[in-house]
Amino acid sequence: MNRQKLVLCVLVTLLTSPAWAQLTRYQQAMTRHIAVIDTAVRKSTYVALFNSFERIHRVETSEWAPVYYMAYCAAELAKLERDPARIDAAADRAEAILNTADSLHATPAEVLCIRSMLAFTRINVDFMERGPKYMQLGNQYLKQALAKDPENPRATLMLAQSSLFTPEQFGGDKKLGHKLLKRANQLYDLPVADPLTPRWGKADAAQLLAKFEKELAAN
Amino acid sequence: MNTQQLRHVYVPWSWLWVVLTVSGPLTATQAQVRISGEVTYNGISPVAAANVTIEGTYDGGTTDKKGKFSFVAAELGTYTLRIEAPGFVHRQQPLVLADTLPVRLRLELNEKLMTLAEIMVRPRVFANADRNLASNLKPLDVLTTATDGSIATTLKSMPGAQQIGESADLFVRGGTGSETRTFMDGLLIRSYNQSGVSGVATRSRYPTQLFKGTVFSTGGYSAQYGQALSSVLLLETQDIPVQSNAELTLSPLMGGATIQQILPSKTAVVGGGLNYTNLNWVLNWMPNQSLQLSPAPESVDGNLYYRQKLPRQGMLKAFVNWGASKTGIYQNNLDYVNTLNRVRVDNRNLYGNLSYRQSIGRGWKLQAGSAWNQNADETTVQVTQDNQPRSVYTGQQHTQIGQARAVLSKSVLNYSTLHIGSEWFYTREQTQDSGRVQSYVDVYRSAFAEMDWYVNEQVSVRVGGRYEQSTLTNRQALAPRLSLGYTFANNGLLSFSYGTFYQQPDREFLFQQHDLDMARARHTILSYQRMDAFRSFRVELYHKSYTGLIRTRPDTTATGTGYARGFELFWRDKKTLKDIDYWISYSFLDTERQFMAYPMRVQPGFAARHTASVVAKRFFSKITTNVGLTYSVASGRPYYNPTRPDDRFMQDRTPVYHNLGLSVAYLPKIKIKQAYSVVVLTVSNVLGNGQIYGYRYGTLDTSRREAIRPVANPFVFLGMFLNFGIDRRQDTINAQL
Repeated sequence: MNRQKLVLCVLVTLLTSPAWAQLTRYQQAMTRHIAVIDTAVRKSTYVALFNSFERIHRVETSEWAPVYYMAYCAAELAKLERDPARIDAAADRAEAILNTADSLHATPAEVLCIRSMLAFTRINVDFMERGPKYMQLGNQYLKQALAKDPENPRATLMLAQSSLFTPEQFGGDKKLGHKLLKRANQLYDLPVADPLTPRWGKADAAQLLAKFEKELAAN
Repeated sequence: MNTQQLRHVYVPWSWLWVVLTVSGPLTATQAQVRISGEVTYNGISPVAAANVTIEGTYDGGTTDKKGKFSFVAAELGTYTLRIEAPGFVHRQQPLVLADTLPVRLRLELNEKLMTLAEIMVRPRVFANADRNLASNLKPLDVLTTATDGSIATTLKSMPGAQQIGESADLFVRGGTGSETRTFMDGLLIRSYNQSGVSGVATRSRYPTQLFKGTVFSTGGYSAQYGQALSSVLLLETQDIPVQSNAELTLSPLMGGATIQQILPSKTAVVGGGLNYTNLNWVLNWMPNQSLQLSPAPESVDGNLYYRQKLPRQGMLKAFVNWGASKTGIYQNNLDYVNTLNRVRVDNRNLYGNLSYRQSIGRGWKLQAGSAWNQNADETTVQVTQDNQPRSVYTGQQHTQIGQARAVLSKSVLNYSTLHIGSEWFYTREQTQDSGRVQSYVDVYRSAFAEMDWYVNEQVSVRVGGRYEQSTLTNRQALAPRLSLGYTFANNGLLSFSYGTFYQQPDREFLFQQHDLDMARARHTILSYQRMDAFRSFRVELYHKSYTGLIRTRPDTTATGTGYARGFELFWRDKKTLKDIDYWISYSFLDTERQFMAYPMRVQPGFAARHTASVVAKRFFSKITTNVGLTYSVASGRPYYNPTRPDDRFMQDRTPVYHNLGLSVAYLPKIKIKQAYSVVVLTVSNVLGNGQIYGYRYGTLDTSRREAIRPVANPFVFLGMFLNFGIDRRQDTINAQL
């Protein structure tokens, strides 16, 4: 199924589901944009999403969710930045927005996940030079996130990715990574009540687990 | 209950939802308006990623690459439309939606936005603040380049610095080693290197890992620094690390341990380290020793630090370093037969500093610091003839330096920063040789003001001045500094710098005489540099004129003069060759001076006309090994040959200097006690070239001479570094699984 169809599918399911009508106008607007997140890959999509969340934030200034998702989009944009000289500026911007989300009481564990994303992103400025520090920092944020919410699937997934992709000399651990990845997939299946609660990462978790286990079987 | 109500009850729920969801959009459609159009810069070029918003609503759109947008407004009414895009000043305009007919808009942004963050990304002349500068070294550069892990050795592969193997000092652009001063967080470190005997390079007292960044300015630097005629080396210490850790160093020639612990508040760290170095054992094994060291260099160095984050981007750092060392050398006494001089230096050093920075309100930032340094050297020269002790000379030197410094900075006008500050130094020097005591106290004060000014997108200016005053010599000086920069569209930076730099005479002259002028150097520099994340290119042309250098013949006066001029090239590239980071530097130096006992103006003994280095390193990920090669070459340096007539003074040249250094760092997969380890092997002068730095001649019998050579050729270092993270949170993660 291509991505556009998927978005359409998600939207149709959403719009025709009984829950939809019970949502406030704010929640409806948010949910519509949140649904696009999981399928976004290109910079332009994240820019458009960022702008949409910003519009909502300008009206609903005391809500945490629009700012949280702005920070998420900004973090994704920093990750997609190809010019190393601009990565820090992009990450700084995301971090500033994230601090606003934090002050509006976004879920602490989720805020920490994005902080971790940004730390890992900053490694791309200079892998050799920054690797040791920012890898540690990124992992530390994830551990803090799990200390606050042991069932956070995103923190679990990112920690799994970090364990799998970091060379063993620098603290990587394939076995731990595999375990964490399996657990992340279980956690993503747990039901979530609030429609604005972050959900991103589920498809990535499933994909990565399938790929990893295929490689494992091949060896 | 009537039928109407009944019918409602029997309507299945699902149908109700369908009606509701369908009717929702249907009712909205009645007022929906499609708004589309494009956003341009002045009606010409399309603006992508612009955000078009109806203020006070959720409605709006984002432009695509062609500047086009389209969205649906939910309700009719009178609104304000807001158009904003990165790099532009946003605009607002009224929007009336009277009916549901589609609206097409041509929107224009007319003004580009110059934010400080954006213009600061571009290269500018504010060398000290600019992290993008080519002469900025990171700890990893040092650890993978230098064969001895020292910052100074790495800097010798950069343009401007000479290959002076017999000294650990940096000799920059025709200047002596004492014309380069080292600063740690803005505070002077006078004895950065360990004391040693003349002709043998020593090691730095301060471990490279203490510093997160190094800026090496080879001239034309900021008015915030003074008392350095040629160059400043600015070291910035680390902040709060990510996690607590401990490190062990094991090597046949040294052992060390460091530990740092983050305090529970997470905003402070306390740490320290201890290092013991002894070359004795290794020198017994090393072939081709050209010097007879006894005792072989042996030292103990320790440090303690505390760093605390403060509110409002504040930081407080306290640091103490102490050390003791001894080293000696046997040299042939060239005046007498079968006679040896044994020179031995014992040293004790204590250095402590306190630095603080914080925003103090109303846009002002304060940076303040103070330091205390105490250094004691004891030199013994023992003359033995036919293994019989003949005479002994002992001399002692004590130095005490106290310093304080404060700098206030504030953003003023449009995009400019003003720095004003002051420094105060108390220096007490005492020398004692064979019972004769000489001493002096100097109080040196300075005040400076400087402005960093982003004139516009292309032009940047740094202009400042520095006033200096010494109570001992009763001299005052005013040193103007100026840098102009023009940044091209390709991010190339053309800059011109001019400045006057003063420096007090070295202590050995001040003991004899207080009434001496400060030496003065004038720098004029034209440079072009261009860099991105992977490549940097720099070419520099300079002229430097000296006055007030110390002459010792016929009397001690500050009447020496000199000049240095030349050009330098630097090219670094991390991209073209896959996985290889390499750089090439070349320095041409034309310099002459008349100072010390020189009877005329000549090229001094520490200046080579041509110096070039090639550095290449590669990380082999499969075998997790980093290999670095450094090749340096320098043309022969002049040396004094007393057998020549006076008009041939300093006309002899040493052989061309070659040095190929190898550095291999291997990261084993096996963890020892949960520690990450690195095994390092470095070899300096792999090819074993016979390097000669100069000659010593007999004072009475000038027909005898001895070459000044490195300690061993080649010199090999093998060591292992173990890093233990003292972070037990990993266990809690495992427990959760």
